[in-house]
Amino acid sequence: MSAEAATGLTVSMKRVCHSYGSKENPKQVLHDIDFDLMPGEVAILTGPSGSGKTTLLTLIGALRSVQEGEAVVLGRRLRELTRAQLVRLRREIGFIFQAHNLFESLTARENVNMAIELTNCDVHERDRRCEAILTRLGLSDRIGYKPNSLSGGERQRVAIARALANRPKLVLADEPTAALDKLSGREVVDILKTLALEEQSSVLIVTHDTRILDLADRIIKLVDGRIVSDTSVKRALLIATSLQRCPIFAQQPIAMLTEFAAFMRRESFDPGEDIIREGEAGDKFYVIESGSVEVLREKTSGDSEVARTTLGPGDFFGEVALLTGAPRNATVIARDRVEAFTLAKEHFHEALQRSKTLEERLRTALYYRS
Amino acid sequence: MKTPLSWRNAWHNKVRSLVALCGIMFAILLIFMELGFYGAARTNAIAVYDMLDFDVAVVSPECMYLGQLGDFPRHRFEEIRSIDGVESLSPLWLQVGRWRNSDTREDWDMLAIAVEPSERPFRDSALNGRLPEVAMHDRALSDAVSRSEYGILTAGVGSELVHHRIRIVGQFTMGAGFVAGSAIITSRQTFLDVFQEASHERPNIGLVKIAPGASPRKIASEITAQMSPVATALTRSDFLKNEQAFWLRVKPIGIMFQTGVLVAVVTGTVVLYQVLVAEVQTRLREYSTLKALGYHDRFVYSVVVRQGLIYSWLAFIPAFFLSLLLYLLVRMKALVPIRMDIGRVGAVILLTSIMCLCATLLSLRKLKTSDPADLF
Ligand SMILES: Nc1ncnc2c1ncn2[C@@H]1O[C@H](COP(=O)(O)OP(=O)(O)OP(=O)(O)O)[C@@H](O)[C@H]1O
Ligand SMILES: [Mg+2]
Repeated sequence: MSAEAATGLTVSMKRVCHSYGSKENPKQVLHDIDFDLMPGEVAILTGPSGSGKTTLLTLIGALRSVQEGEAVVLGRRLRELTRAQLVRLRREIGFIFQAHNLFESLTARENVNMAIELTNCDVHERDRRCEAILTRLGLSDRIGYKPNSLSGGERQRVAIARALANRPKLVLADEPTAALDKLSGREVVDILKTLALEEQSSVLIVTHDTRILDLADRIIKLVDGRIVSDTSVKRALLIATSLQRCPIFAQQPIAMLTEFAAFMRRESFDPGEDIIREGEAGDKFYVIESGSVEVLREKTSGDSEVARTTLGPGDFFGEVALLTGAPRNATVIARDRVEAFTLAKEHFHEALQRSKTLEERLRTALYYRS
Repeated sequence: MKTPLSWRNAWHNKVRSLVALCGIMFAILLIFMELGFYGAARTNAIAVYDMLDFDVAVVSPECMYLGQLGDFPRHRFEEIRSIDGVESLSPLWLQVGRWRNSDTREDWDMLAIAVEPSERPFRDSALNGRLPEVAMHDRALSDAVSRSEYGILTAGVGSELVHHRIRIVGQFTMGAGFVAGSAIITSRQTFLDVFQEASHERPNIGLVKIAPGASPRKIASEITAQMSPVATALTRSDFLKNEQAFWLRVKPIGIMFQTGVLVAVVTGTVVLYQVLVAEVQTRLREYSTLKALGYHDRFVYSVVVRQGLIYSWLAFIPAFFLSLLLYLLVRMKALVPIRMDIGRVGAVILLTSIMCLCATLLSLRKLKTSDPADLF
């Protein structure tokens, strides 16, 4: 346990699989999920319907037992916990559902109190916290109302107040904005974002709502029970701005560039290591995140002299061989420790396919470069 | 104070709460009435014996119940009197005969109790003091709480018992029993005149009073040993118990009331179960939410159990007061000696709890299906 706790990750899942149905006839819906969530991180989980997003969320939230793989949530290995311990773990997690699931017979205040009463706090402290959170959510004048006299947005905000009242270190939300209009949806997500910043809570939101994508630090895409992309927005931004500096990508919409970014994997190289060698078949495209490399290219004149260029963070290389299919025309050596994002050949082409114009421009650019 | 979720849930759906309360209240009221009548039957069964002053009763071995007592020879009384600890022994004759209502001229069963007017066989000393009034021929005291079919039975009224003229000279208070709707007290002589087959020599019961500190059980067995096989002796409590057992077990009166109680309990259980199941069904997601928030299953169950208890206890209060009222009405109108006592209240509370327990346990099965993973 302590090993994971020491890493400081809120959620850490390794090779997690999940199947529904009987033992004889299982239907696997999650395949080898590797997934981490850091404190203070807001992650958005998207993917087509039926891809397993909700299943993953219920596993993290200790609402379903983990069948295979390792899941550590808030420093605890879920598979080692007893039923009662799992229930107690849930008290440290804030759940926000698509439906508000409020207690119909209780007022807004009492609904929130039901959550606070799970912690050891006296009545005054409880009422103070309850009022504070409800006021914060703009419900100060609706405190004494029951759900059926509240609007849909108000109900959802009460539900959020209930989920956040104990300042959970992990918030799991499934389509929290689906039942809300644009404005209240935005408000709800803003609150989550603020909580993440203030309390260093991790927030994982399942959503199809593109209007809130910009709030995420990370966007994870699940297709058929596999994580097909796990993109840090910061990283995507780095890659996209790098690509924009390249003439071939320059005119592309940012969405296209993030598409590339989504496919990229991170790799590191030791100082002096050959990253690519001249004459080898090209299978990857590189964008440098940190460190610097030296590009060695034989002069076209045929003598043994080599042209040396140094590239640093934000620079890229290796696209020519990928596009033309020709062997590498240069050798690239790491000068110091290099962190780079790489794009594999098939993903490169897949992304290219999506834009004919891009391909044309790429060819033109390559023409000039060679 | 913690948020009273069960209480709030209990009153959230007004119609459902009302159905629950009325249904359970009705069931509890029914239990009170059935147990009340059962209790009255127990009282009724021994109304005659209860008036009599004795520690040990001597009867014929054939004695079954008040309506079939049998008799035994009086000449053996001296033997009984000579037993250590026996202080007095008085004979009693009892028989049912047809009484003519002097107004309607209809005949009704009347229990005649015959005493030696010189003895003091009753617990009520005032009544003992009035016995000389019936010492004269064809005089009798009548039961003040007789059924109305017997006509007016106040002093001065004259009518016929088994075609024999009787004059009422006063009243006593006993209450209608099971063998007859009314009773009179006469002298042994009047009785023998009325019932030709009865004999001075063969009383139906011998009432034994024992010395202070003597053991009635020991004396009863001594008498039995002495008198066997012509008579047998029972302590007061055994004698009363036997009479009650006859009416409540041998006769189907007890079964009747027990069935009534059972039906009431089942009715209450079903009503409460229906209400709670409807409640669980509509609130399944809320119960799941409790689990997702981190409440243990037992808390979630207790929310439902407490709701059941709230309905039961709140229904108990009006049921209790209504039954007091009904008892009063029954006592006044039907002359049934029905009275509330602590034991009965305890019994009804117990039965109400059982009702509540069964209903909630049944409805909890439904609750087991609530799974917080389904909330998403
Ligand atoms: N309780 C269950 N029993 C059996 N199969 C289930 C169960 N829950 C989900 N599934 C199946 O598992 C797969 C993944 O479901 P899941 O609800 O995780 O998808 P999702 O990504 O949340 O979809 P959506 O976007 O529509 O909410 C689906 O094929 C679904 O039919
Ligand atoms: Mg889902």
